[in-house]
Amino acid sequence: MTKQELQQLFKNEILPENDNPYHFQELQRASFTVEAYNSMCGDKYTLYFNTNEGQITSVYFYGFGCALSKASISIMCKSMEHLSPNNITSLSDQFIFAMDQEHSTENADKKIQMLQQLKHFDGRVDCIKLGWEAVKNHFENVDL
Amino acid sequence: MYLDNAATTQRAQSVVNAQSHFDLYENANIHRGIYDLSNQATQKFENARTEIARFLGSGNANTVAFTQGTTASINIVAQSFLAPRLQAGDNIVTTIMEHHANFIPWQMLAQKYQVELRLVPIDKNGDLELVQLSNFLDKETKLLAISHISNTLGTIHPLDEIIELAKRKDIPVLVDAAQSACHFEIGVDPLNCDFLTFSGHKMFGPFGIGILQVSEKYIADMMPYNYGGGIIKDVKVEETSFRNFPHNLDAGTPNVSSVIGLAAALKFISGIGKSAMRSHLNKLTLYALDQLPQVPGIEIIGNPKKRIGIISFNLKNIHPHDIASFLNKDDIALRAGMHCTQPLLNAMGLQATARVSFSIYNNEEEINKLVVSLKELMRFWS
Repeated sequence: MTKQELQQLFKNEILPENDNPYHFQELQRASFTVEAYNSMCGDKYTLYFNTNEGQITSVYFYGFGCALSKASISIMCKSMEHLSPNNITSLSDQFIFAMDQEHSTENADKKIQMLQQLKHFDGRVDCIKLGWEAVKNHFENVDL
Repeated sequence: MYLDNAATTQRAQSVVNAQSHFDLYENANIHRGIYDLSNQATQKFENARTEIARFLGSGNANTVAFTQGTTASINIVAQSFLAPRLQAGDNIVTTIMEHHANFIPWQMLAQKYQVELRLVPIDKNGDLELVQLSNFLDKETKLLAISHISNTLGTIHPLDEIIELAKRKDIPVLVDAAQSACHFEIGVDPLNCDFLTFSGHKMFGPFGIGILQVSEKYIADMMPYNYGGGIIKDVKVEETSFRNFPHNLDAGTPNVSSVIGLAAALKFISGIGKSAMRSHLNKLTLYALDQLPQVPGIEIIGNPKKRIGIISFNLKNIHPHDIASFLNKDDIALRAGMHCTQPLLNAMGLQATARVSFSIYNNEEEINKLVVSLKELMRFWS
């Protein structure tokens, strides 16, 4: 990625999401929470999930991190609302799989597709995957 | 433009040459062969130990053990020296400013042996609270473990004063010299400490090689920590007896090539002179501290009384990882994150910082470019 491409990426995609993140708010109450933490860099978020009759009704997040991790979690939170836990597991699995694969993987959500195209971003893939991996690990370890 | 020298320095040509010459023409396993090639390799290996001891101001090569690096050296002291002598009610003193390598081994011992881990705090400038340090040292203190230079703030600790406090109470002292071995006069004798640790790769040498120097006072207390060939006097079915330090640590085949490389690195450093290196780094550090405040929104982390070569900073509203990614596009390599000092950053209320660290091949023009690049980033971000 050239410097100009990096600037375009941040200007058009990352900074708007970083500056106006979706549901970036600390909640006093939630059905359950998930911690997303990267001990190598200090990025740390709490994800708040609200549920109703087994469906995820809303996802909020709050914490500290880089523009990439914040933008990625913002996009993730929005994409996970109104899904079942099974579908969230599937979505996070697909995202991590797409980020780890050499070949490109399509996603109907344009913003998720944008994130997946950053799989070769030098040294920053962990930032993009942070929230997704936390959610994946959470749902893999609970009885659905 | 490489500004990540606290992580690792670039390799000196003479180091690469010395290693490759050994690998190509002199390679043999040491201490074992009854043939010329092995004998010559053994001689070079042991000569390197003598040269390293001399570099550390000692005429006794048997104070010097080869390890995989600073982390390994500290863990050896933890397991080989300290663990066997810990009892409930004891304490270990270290500081909040340490690299994880000089923190977690003591934390693990404290938890396992039910002893207290005392952490010397810092003041708002990033200097250690020496009164608190003095108060922490008592007759139950079994070790004081301290770095020479903070890898995050660049603080130079007043080791003379600190070690004197411990020595008055006959407390053994470990010095993590990972950030200072390159350009400060170090060694268990010059510093009057008992354990000295550092890594080759932070001083123009190879990866995977480090030093643990032990004072003559405690040499006999260094027990083997892993077992195998090369460290034994006698092996019977019933029991095994071991060689003395440092040969009781070298189980298995040592990293001979890297030991040769490390000796070449020390020769390279001696050729330039530590005083000249310090002078250059001081000049660069002062210049950077003078120039960086031109960048709008910059916060230099810490203002210690003495610092060298390492400066952490943050830019308003820009995460250090994003700083590093953008500067990378200007071919500037710097570090971003917690720098393996999570307790320090937590104590300072920080989640991460960007860090520049200099070496002898950096210059003021590079600092000018850094400032230009940071200014451009601030303009872009706002």
